[in-house]
Formats: sequence, structure tokens, C-alpha cells
Amino acid sequence: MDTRRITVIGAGGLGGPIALALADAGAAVTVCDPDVVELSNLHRQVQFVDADVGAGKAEALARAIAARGGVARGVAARFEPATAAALAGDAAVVVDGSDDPATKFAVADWARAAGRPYVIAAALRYGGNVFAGAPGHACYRCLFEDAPDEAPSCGDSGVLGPLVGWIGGVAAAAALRLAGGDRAGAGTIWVLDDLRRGGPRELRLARRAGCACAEAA
Amino acid sequence: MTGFTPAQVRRYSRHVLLPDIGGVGQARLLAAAVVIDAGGAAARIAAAYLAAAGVGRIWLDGDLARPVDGAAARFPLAAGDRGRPLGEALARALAGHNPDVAIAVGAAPAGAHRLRLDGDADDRPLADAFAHGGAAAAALAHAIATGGAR
Repeated sequence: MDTRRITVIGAGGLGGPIALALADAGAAVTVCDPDVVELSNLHRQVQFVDADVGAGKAEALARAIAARGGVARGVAARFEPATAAALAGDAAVVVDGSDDPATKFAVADWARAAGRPYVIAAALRYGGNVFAGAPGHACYRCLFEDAPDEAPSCGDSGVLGPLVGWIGGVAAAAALRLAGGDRAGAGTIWVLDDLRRGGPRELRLARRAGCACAEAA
Repeated sequence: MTGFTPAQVRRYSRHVLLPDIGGVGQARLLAAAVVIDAGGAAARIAAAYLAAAGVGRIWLDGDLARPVDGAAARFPLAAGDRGRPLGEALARALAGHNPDVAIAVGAAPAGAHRLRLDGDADDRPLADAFAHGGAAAAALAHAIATGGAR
């Protein structure tokens, strides 16, 4: 494990600001995403420009980081149990910025099993949330238990473009604290319910009785 | 969505889906003028998000005649911008985000919306700059799209 390496899952609206901010702070970033840049991404994915449409997202984000003097490698792959070790085995912290609930649970489960701190971020419509986890603290499943069968996405419900910068910045800050050994925020979720109705809330979670993380402790 | 090109329909589809915005709100964004005091890292990130969101005319204001150097050469600027006048380099960077947006450096017309972030600086940590710049841009974009007050 490289204490300077952080893996970012998703190179889109959240993964972009997260990876840019982490690299700027000195982390060597691995970013993975199987998708290509589409025109519908560009109202919020400011790491890309029009000329990137059609390019692989992970590779294009890695190029954007390198153009700012940062260290990054882009991998056109989805994070799942079969690819987790190759994508994150050397990472000190794993950060999810994907738009897929199943991927978020895969990240949380792998990080808990590997004993790694992790951050999971989400944004939709006018709100979002950032969860920080680490060994010995409440985990993602302590709060959400299981992935939903169906969940709305930005593609069918929309998202206010600049909101992802806000959520991504909060997620990157949480990841940097974890990478620096500060676990004070572990087991915490920051929730922006709806920017039209006020600012974010910070909720500190206790472990859920019966959760796999409590049984493993 | 009348009055939008097919490319604009695709580019702004995630805004048009939002109940408060729709095609009317996106048209308001495209017709809007915003002046941004772009002397700090968070304001420059806000500028990138507002350009991407389709704010039609953006004026860059502040201490922008100085050359890009040190911590200023970070997103949305790049290492290759070092030595160029900051305002000129930022205008060029923002133009790459959205062909629908006109970017200028200097005095803005009367009636433009204004974005200014107190305490902003070149060397602000980028995570903090994204959080604050994104929040400010989100609030302003929503206010413009819904016809909110300046």
C-alpha cells in the first residue's frame, strides 16, 4: 500500500473535482471509469472540454491532471470485486464518485474487507451526500444496509451542474483527512438535502447492530 | 425545448430535467450576464462551472493583468498558462468548456449578476476551492434560472 496513492472510482461530475483536488494536494491518483465523454456530461464535468467528447473519461481526466503537474493514471474499467485489487490494492484511501449504487456498495464492502478508509459521494438534482468510513467506525451498510433495486440517476432526474463541484470538494477534503491519518470524520455523513432549503448537515453515525462491520470487529 | 439546437438539448439535458429549471430556466441562463471577481481559486472554479452551465456572457474582473504563476496555475488554468496574463489565460480556458458562452475581461455592463467570494486567494486548497466555488456557482445558477433577484 502506498500512503500517497488514492484510487478514485468514477471520472465524471464527482470524480473530476475529487481527482483534481487530490492530485493538487500531492496524491498519486488512480482513476477508473469505463465510459466515454458525452456532450450531456459537459454541463457539469468541468475537467473536460468539447474536444474530449468521445474520449475515455478516465484517460481524459488523467491527462487533465497531468496538465496541472499532477500524477495520475487512468484506467478504463469498472470497479467490481474482480477488478478491485488491481485498481485499489495499492491505495491508502478509496473514493467513490460513481453514479451507480451497486458500485458504491462494492467499494464499501471491499474497503471494509481490506481495512482501508474510504469515501463515498453522491449528487442528484439539488442535493448530495458524502460518507467517510474507516476500520473501527460505522460503515456505509450501517446506514444504507443494501443497494436499492432501482435508484434515480442524473440521466433521468437531472442535476444542477455546479452542485457536483460542491459535493466533490467536500469528498476530496474528507479523503485527504483520512489519508493524513485523521479518523475524526470516520463514520460521518455530510448531507446536502436540497440547496434550495438550506446548507449541509453533518451526521455522526453509530454502528448498526447486526451489520457485518460490527460482527467483524 | 423550442429555440435550442440539437447540441444544446443534449448539453443541457440534465438541467432541463430539473423541476425548477426546465427549458425556460436554461434559456434564462443562456441569456444571463455575470461578472466574476476571478482573483482567487474558488472564484475561478465557480467561473468554470457557470460557463459549463451555459451562462451566456461572463466578464472576468479583478487583479487579472498579472502573469499566471505559482498557485494560480491550477485548475481551471494549467501549467502551460504560466507567464500569460491571468485574465487572458482564464478566458481561453473557459471558452473551451462551452461554445455557447462569450467570455470577456474587463468592465461588465450594468445589470449583470455579480459573483464575488470574500477571502478567496490563489493558494486556497483545491478541495476547499471546489466546495466553495461550486456552492457559490450553484446558488447563482439556480437564482438566475428561476428568475431570482440579483
